[in-house]
Amino acid sequence: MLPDLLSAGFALAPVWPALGAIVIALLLLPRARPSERLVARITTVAVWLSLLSAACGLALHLSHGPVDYRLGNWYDAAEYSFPLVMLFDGLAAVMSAFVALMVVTTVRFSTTYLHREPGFVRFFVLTLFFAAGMQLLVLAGSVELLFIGWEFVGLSSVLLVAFFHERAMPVQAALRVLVTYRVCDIGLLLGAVGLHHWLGTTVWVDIFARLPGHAGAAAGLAIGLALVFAAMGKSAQFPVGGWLPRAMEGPTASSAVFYGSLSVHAGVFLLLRAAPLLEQSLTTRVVLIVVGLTTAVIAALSSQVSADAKSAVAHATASQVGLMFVECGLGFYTLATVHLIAHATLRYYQFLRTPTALHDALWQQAALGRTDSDEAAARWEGVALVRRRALYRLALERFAVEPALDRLVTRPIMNLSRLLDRLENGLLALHGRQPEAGTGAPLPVMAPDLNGDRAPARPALSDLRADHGAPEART
Amino acid sequence: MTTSDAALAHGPRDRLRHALERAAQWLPIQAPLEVFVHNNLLVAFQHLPFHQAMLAARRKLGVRGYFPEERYRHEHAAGRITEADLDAVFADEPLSDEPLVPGFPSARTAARVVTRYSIGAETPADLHWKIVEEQATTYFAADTTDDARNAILAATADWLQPQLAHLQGHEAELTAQIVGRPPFRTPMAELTALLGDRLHPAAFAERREPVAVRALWTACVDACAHYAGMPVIGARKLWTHRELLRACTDIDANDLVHPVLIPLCAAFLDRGQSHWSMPDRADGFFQAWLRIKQAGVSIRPSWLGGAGKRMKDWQARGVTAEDVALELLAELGVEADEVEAYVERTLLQLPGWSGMFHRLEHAPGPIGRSRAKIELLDFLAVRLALDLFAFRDIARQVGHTGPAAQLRRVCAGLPQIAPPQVRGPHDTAWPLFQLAQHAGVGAPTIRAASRGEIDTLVAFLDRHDDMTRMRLWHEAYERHYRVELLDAVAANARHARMPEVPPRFQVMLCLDDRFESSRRYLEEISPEVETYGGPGFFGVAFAYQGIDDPRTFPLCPVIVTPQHRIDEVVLTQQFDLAQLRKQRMQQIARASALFGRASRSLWLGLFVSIVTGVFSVVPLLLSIFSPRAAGRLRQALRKKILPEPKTRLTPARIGLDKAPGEDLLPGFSVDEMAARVASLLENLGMTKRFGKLIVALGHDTSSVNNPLLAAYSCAACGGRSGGPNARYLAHIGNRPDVRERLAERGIVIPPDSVFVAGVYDTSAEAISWIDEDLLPASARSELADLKVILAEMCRRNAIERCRRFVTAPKLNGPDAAWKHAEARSVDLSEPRAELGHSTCACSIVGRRELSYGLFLDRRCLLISYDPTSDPDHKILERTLAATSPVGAGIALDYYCSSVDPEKLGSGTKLPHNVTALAGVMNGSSSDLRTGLPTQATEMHEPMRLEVIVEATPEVLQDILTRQAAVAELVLNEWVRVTAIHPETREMWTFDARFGFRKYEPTPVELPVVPRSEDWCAGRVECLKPARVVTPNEVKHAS
Repeated sequence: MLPDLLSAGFALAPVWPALGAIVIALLLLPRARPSERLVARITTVAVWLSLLSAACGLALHLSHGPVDYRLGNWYDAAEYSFPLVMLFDGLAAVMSAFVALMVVTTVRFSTTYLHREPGFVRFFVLTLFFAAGMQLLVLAGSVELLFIGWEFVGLSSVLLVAFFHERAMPVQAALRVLVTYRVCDIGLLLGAVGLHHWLGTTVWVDIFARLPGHAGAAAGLAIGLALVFAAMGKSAQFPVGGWLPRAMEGPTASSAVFYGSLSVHAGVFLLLRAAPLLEQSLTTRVVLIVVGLTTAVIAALSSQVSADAKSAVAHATASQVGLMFVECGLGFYTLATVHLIAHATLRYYQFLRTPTALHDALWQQAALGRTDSDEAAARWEGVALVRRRALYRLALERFAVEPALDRLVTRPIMNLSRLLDRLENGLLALHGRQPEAGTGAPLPVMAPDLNGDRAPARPALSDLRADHGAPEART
Repeated sequence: MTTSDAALAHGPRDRLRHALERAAQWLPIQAPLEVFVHNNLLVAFQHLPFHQAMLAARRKLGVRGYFPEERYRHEHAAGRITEADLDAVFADEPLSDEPLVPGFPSARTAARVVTRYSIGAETPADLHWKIVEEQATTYFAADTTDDARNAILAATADWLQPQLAHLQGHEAELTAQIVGRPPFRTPMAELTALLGDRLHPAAFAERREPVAVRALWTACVDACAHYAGMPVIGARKLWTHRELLRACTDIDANDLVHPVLIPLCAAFLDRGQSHWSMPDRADGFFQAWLRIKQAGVSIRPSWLGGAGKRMKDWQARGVTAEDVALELLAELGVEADEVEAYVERTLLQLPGWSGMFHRLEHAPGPIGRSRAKIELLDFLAVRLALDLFAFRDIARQVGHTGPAAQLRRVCAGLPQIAPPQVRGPHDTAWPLFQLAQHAGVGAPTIRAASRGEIDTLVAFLDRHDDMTRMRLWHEAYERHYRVELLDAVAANARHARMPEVPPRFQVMLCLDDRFESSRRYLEEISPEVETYGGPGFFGVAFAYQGIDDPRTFPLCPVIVTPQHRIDEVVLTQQFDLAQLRKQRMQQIARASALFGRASRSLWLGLFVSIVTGVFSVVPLLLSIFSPRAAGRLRQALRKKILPEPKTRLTPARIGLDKAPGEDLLPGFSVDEMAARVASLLENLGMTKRFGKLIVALGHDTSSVNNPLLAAYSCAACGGRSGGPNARYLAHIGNRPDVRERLAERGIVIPPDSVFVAGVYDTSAEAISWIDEDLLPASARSELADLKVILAEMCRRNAIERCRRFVTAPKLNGPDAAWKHAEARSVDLSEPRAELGHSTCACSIVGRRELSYGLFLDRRCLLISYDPTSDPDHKILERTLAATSPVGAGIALDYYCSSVDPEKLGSGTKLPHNVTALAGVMNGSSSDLRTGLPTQATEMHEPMRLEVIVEATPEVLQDILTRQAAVAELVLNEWVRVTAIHPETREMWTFDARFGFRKYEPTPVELPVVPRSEDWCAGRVECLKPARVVTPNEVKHAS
């Protein structure tokens, strides 16, 4: 009886925030904007209930140990069913409680912090969706459910980076995050599909049960690598971590909870969750260690030269997350879990305090009676000039990972797609159809009477565009 | 322009230097954030009259100098601007009262209609939307008056009457006159659709409105047909490489350059935020860039192809930044006469960063600690180099691989993505149509007008473009407040009586608008308190070094350069304590520095994050869920760990000489002290009677997580606490030798009057006392009484402040409000610990009688000045010269940041990111944001400071002839001045067009309340003035 009640309570952890978000979204339907106070109250209630659910989870784990909680199938199709299944083990209980606590803190912080901001309601809807996604991700008993939570987290993250969408930079940064996320999500999808083919199930418990019988298969390596790739995107690891410093465009509160605390650690959680699977293949573990170490070194060095508070913390976060990858690769799962939670709390606090950076630094300089450098800086300045310059350049350019990716991956893909575009246009032309002109054509008619005079100008322009293709297509 | 001619006479190097100097004047002047001075953000334009300056600033910087028009219309709808205000503004405009053209109203009436309904050009797309979706050319606009509608309907009916009578055979003609040439239908089909019926007189009678409106529109379009295709007046010509390339490729070179340039700038200017500083900073930005970007191995972005070779070449030739800038300008094909404009454009691409380079180059001040050689020229050279590669890369995409000098010519020959704008119905017929509609002019009048008359009308409408309309709206917006204020002061002057009891406490405060309420409450609580306001450095300007300070800081307004140095010295017997404090502070600082460093490093980070991460949850949760408790705990801990030794300030200077190598005098001599105190007391008009305690309350503020902290502190002390000034004043004011000298000057301070110093934290509403132990016993008991009054003042003040905090919970009584104010000042999540000067609107220079008991809603800088003891007006001149730049600076900083929060202000605080310990960026890579954030300005009503001076216009005019800085502000209308006669209370307002003009106040009676809370508690908006008549006062009156 009690375990059933506790399990049901725990399973509601993702439901409350989702419900809260839906209620607020419904309040937005009539044209009147709900008051800040009302929105804050609904959000607060939702996240506290979620925390209560998570507490149920902790109680459940302490009293009954792991529970495989099955609610049946969402739908069944030929040879496939979508199981609604949750895995309540220690990892899930701890992570869920941690997530809920961080979200409660964020909501409390943001209620005053975002006061009078035009996007106030949007922020809380997105935060609630994020909380729902994060809880689902943590509790999911199957890869599919985890994927849903994963996507919730990704989408809310992208939309919060673009929170100030009236300026161009946040939108560009958000696009960058979106593209990275989407590309890396392929890993998770491939992993799920692969698991179905290989083991016939994506339910974690079943996977772990069937694994021993299938050891050593190449499929295991492929699935492991796919999952690692997915984790790398979410956790900003080399070489796809370039989005992390750019993601600082949103409000400080969302930067803290996403990129200092929860979202950026979701990749590590995936690794912890899929640990038995990843352990199957030595190659996967080596890849984990290499990726983690590379990121850790690059990000730590980049953090040393960052002259702005948020990038410095962001890089430092990526570097520690890199170390967590290493820990997972080495099989130190408990260490990784402790590291994850402690680190996420610390960075969260550091992020919230980034606006204090100026006064903290000035106070330190005053107290130490030094106005410029300290011993560590002196140690840095003791490095031979040539080496110092070279190292500094690498660190400042973040080891040129982005230009390299741009040259080696983005450009070839873009060129290929342009080639395909030209081919398609050629094929269309064979069928006697004009390719469509580029976007941004002027509006058709500006006033009823005078378009006669202006009409000739437009065809001329669109002809020209048709001849040359879109300007960016020219090389 | 003689300097510019002289520069042209010299070679290209002088030209470049000169161009750089000229261009730099348009850059923001904001210093690194730890010093914050409220400045006119458009100070470069201050030599121009205000409205002209706004025009010039829009042209030069693309900033908007007023609220958007919709905002003024909204304020009009809300009653903040009334018809009477508009009447008064338009009555003063130099416009003709003759009809513009026959059948039209006069220029004055038309201008008013144009402003009132925001009649002006639309974009073609907007017009299309209005016609198709809003049917703006079929029905009257909703806000058309009935008179105008009826006049148009009647005129159209009269015009149609004869034509409808002879409809047969003239249908086509009539149709063309009503619907013109519609785009999608035949004219006849359009007219039929309009009538909803076949063409017959009954249908016209049925559908009078569509016919009249459409006929009017068609008439306007026909009348303005000859404008179609003409070039737009004042359209900006695209001429820089970036503009031209963007126009024909839609690729912005800045998108390539900025992600590379901004981290470099941040790293170079960094004053200690990064752990590894940039190498080679001592050789300047250009050299450092050149060396670092060639060091080691890396991969350049593809658009920087060829940069390596070029940089190697520069390094081999050993060129300077100047050589390179000249070389690049020549390579880009910038002609000699364009250099100035081109350099200006280039720097204005990143005004924040170039401004910081400029600022640190020219005013090292507290910034010169960094060992970098900072020069704007270096920045320009690097910027031009990056620009060149970006331009060439983009040019390659449009097929130009030749020299960059030809780039602009090539671009000019290419088709542009958006064709150049030309005139058309959207900016000719549409405004005309709207004017006619609102003025009640029908189609026949337009049709009857000659082309010359139409040209007159269109020219009139062109003149009344959005800038003109915003200017007129703004004048009305300011006038509304001015009238309200002047009437209130006049009414108050008729009734208010100062208490007749002699003062027991005399409290001196900063002139800050935040102390308007503090002073009001003090007087409300006890008639024995007399209050004074003046610049918060209390007349003692010095460079100060406290026991915790690493160096001296000037504690005086920025326009004053301190000549003296005052140190806080620890008493000999407390030396050990001071030593302990210093040690502990160093330990804490070292630990926190180590922690900061370790948490960002690799292996130590692993250890630190695991160990401290777990513990950081305690301060995190505590400071977010219970900020007040966390704040108290922190304070208690600090007290416990850091002992506070007893200290004294630098004693009197005996000799006259400076120490060798020092440019500051160590302390004041007794004569200097006496002169300072005398001049302060004279300025405040405090020379005749003295209370038991003369209290100087220095201004301070507190908030956490706020990079702009200094913007909220004492503006008269360079954004720092005014406590040391108050302390020093109390110290010298209590010296017997100083008092002797004061007595010689006729200022006799009785021996039982004692100076006391305190610090008033306007954010936490807390007052702390300095050197209390030095007070005689009698003064101590007096102070105990005063403390009760002050505590009550803080509580009531908190209520008045909390009324404007929308997020404040329901507060029951003054104690809750006071606790809330305290909690805000230590709350990490609170971006508005206090609202600073955001309500600042006016200033009163005069005796307290003018404003005694007047509820001014914390909007007034109160400056004490007694005209009766100033026969030769020297004191007034001194006061105005010292305070008007401060007041104008505050008001104009808020003004500019409010009207254009993105370009002049720094936008919302939420994404701000402290960079290089110098400024804030949005996110991880943007221009440095200057000006005030929206959190500071959102409540502000942007107006020029309304200054009321208790003096006659003649006296003021006389002062203006001598004080150039004041004259510039007043004559160019950057502040609005009103003179009020010291005896007769007549008023004159100053207007550059009319000089001082007599103002007749409307004889209103102000609402009377017994306590300020009764007027303000629970109301969020700006409040009208009211009179606070305490029961005491009623007793006196009866």
